[in-house]
Amino acid sequence: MKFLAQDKLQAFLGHLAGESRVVAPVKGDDGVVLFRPWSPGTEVELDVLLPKQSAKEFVLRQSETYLRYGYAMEGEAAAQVDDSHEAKVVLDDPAERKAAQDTAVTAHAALVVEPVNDAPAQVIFGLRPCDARGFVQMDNVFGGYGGFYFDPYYNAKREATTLVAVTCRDPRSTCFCTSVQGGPASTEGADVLFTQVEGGFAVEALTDKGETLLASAEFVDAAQAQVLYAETVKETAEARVDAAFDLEGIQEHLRANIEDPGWHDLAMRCISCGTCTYVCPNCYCFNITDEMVEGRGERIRTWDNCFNPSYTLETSGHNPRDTKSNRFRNRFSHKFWYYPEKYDSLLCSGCGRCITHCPTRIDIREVLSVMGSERTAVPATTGEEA
Amino acid sequence: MASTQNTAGGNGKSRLTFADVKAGVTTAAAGTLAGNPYLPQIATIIDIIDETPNIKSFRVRFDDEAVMDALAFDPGQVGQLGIFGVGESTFAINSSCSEKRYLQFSVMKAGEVTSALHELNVGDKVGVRAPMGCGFPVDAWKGKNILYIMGGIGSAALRATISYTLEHREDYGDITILYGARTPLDLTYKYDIEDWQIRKDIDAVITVDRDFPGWEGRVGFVPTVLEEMAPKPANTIAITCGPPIMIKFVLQGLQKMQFTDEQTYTTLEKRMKCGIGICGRCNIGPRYVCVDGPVFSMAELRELPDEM
Amino acid sequence: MSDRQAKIRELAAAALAEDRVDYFIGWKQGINPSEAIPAFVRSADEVDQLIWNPLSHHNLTTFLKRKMPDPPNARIGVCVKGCDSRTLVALLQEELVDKERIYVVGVPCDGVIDRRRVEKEFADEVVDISFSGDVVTATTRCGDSKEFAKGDMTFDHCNTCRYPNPVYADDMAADPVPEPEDRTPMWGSIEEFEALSPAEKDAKLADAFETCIRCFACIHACPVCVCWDQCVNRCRRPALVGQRVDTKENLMFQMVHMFHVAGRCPSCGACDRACPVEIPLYLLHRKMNKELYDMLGFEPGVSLEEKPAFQTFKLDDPFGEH
Repeated sequence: MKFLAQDKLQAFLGHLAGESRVVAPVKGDDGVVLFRPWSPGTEVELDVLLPKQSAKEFVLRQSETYLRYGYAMEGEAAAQVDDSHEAKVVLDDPAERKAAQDTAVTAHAALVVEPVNDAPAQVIFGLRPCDARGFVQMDNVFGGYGGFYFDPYYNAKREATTLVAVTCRDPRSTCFCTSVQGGPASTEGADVLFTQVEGGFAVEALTDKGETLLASAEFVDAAQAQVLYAETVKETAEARVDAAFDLEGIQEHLRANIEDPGWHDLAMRCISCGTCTYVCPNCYCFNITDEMVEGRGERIRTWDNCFNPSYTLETSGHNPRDTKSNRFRNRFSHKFWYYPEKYDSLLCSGCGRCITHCPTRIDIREVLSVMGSERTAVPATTGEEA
Repeated sequence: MASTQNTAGGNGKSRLTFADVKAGVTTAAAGTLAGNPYLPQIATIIDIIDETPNIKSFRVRFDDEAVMDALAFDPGQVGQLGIFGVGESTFAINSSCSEKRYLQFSVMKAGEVTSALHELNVGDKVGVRAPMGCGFPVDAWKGKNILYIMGGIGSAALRATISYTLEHREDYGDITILYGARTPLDLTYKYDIEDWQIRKDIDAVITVDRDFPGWEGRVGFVPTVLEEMAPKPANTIAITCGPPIMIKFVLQGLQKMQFTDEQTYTTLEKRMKCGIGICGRCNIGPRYVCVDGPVFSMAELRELPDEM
Repeated sequence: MSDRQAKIRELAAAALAEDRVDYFIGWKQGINPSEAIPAFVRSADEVDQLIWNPLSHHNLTTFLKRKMPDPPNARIGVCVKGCDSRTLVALLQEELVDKERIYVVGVPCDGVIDRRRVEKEFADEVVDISFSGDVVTATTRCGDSKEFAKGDMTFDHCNTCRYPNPVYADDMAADPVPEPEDRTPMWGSIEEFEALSPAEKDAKLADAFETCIRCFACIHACPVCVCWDQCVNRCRRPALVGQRVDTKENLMFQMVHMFHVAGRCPSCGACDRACPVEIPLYLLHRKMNKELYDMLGFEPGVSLEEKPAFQTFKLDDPFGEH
């Protein structure tokens, strides 16, 4: 185990910033803490447990151009079919672009389609173990696990990213990582784990990528007392996370309760926005749209969510999940039944952001306690969760 | 049969990396673009057939000859047909699996993408990602009687399968086609219908919802006609596709006639985006229509929440 | 227990017991006593969960709008504060809510607490907020406690409120609180914004909307935003608002919302309070309110007989001069 003195943190991050982009929790002028690109001199905010949003945005971009298309004159370079993950920009030269626009509608213009996949090296510093685990759960979906498709856009960024997690010192009352197979010092998904000890951080490399980071001169070997201190911090934090619900049989119970009227009661105060899914480190659903300007266009993907009333709306006007309670049921079932059935793990790492940021404080722990357990006969007009 | 690897709960579950994909271990089925399942192949429209007042069939050919040559798909599989600048939509591949010159998609003018497709001419470029999803288990059906029950543009989803069973006629028992539309004008593939009616080795019943000037054929809703036909369930597979309300009554009818859930198949349509089981839009409970479907047996559907 | 809270429970119990409503919407304690959340009560013996205190910020009329009631034809009882009643009036003016299906309990209001402002006074999690007269006491999970003057912790729109008593209700939970004699609106921070140069305004807006995540909590929490699955911001036909999430498109999205609810929105602040990244959306709507007032002398949602400003035309409207 290594030790990094508190006053060496800036130097370490500065060192990283020389080679890649550094992202860290930073407090804005409005007092809001978010993961933001870090630049030397910026204070890293580790006192506030969780930034408002998870760090997923830096790997699964909220909006990302993945194809560019336009028209090129005959004789110009034809579309280069490229399945590699290197960045490639089509028609980057303004004059060329102008020419392409001018000829876009002529019979001689050739359609040029190019994938765009920009993935600069980056280090995400200061995310909590739950956020790091969130990436592992998304990795299954985008990484072709179990015979599904491999997503070159997510994976290019994922492979170019190093995750430096920091053990949680003071878990919140809304944290429930220990109920979903994680913990405040979980190492899953992270490359390095920092634990705050007196005067600095006890630091462990967890992967080869992490090992490389610790080669930096700012680190010294940790003293035995520091190692023990770090262990105490981890244990104390773990003890502070309350058990929230029982995972035993949850998948079967959700399946059995699919038509249970309790879903209506639980969804009453849901306003069908997408906040819970967008602040979630695991929710990954997206939309694909084309944005076209003057004969040149981009196909982009943007975060989308199953609470969006038009998410499943079909052209005919038919909507398979037309009611609030249907959409509400989908999110929890996806995380604890649909996803586990496909990927043998859960789609939740227990950060509790969906609880704290829900405009009406819908509590996933309560939803799962009620719907993820055996339901006895429920009268149609039961009270809310009570 | 072309093999599809994209079935649910695949074996040897493990995560892939770029290294794997470059080495050729890939799960994508889109021709030479195996490494990037989002990237459409550019194709040219070589023919457009006006099927009905609001349905056109587009025959498209990949610009890359190697992709065209390598194309193989199962009857019932689908593809994403798109226009750059507008977007993509999912359509059944309704040309025969043995057709090597083109892929055919039938498009009913309704929304954003379909309306834009209707504006296209022969020679225009489209983007195609195909094949996707799982087809019908036509091999497992060998030796059985096949009953197709279709309404409106539902015929597009079953056309490749009908072609397959007719091209392998000796492998199957009786083949019956019940096809209905609102009016004679709304019947698709009139060239197929003529062929079916000439052939002696199949039984084709064509019906329209109500009397229409000049129509001398059968009149009646598909579920009603099905009841009158009273097909026997013994050794028979029933496959239905059409408007949701028709499917609903057909399934009820089949159940009444003692067809089991394992004997009954349908193919579903859902709003889709990625088409590769990731974006999370087309799921019905734990099943994704794009990769686990669009073909489902009634037995499979019974397991799912009521989100059709 | 406050008198208002007792009266809310009594009125709710009566409405439920007499089967005048299928369910009654009020406020109840959230995860801990530091917050209140919407409560849906279905029977008279469950009314004891209902509370009223300065944390009862939710505008519950949003649960009356299209596609929210479950079942869709439910008869609903609902509590409204002054500002909430104005959004309800706006909905009623356009017949977006059926008056016959609702039972409205008006709650005179002394201003509600901006919980986020309290939270920012601590690094640790606030788990309890209590009130004694005009003193607010907040306590964290570690047991740290601080006291604040209530006036320092109430929302801006409470501090400038001119309608503390509901303008529409079937029954009242208390006698009206004193109202300002002069109802001329106070614009406060809007005037500060207006004094900025165009470049400064641009910078301020860009700064505010950069962090928008387009989760749509603002428009879903908004009681007078009713398009739901037909929202132009998500629509691709026509594609008026780009789906790309960047400062420009984010601002466009919010501008569309602002213009669409202009004349209905009394700037109750529900959008602002719902925003997970704390964008000061309230100011945007407040600015529109000021324009409407300055130009047309119009205040949204104060009278059932009126129509929203953009649905009527009078010869003396300033637009008529040209």
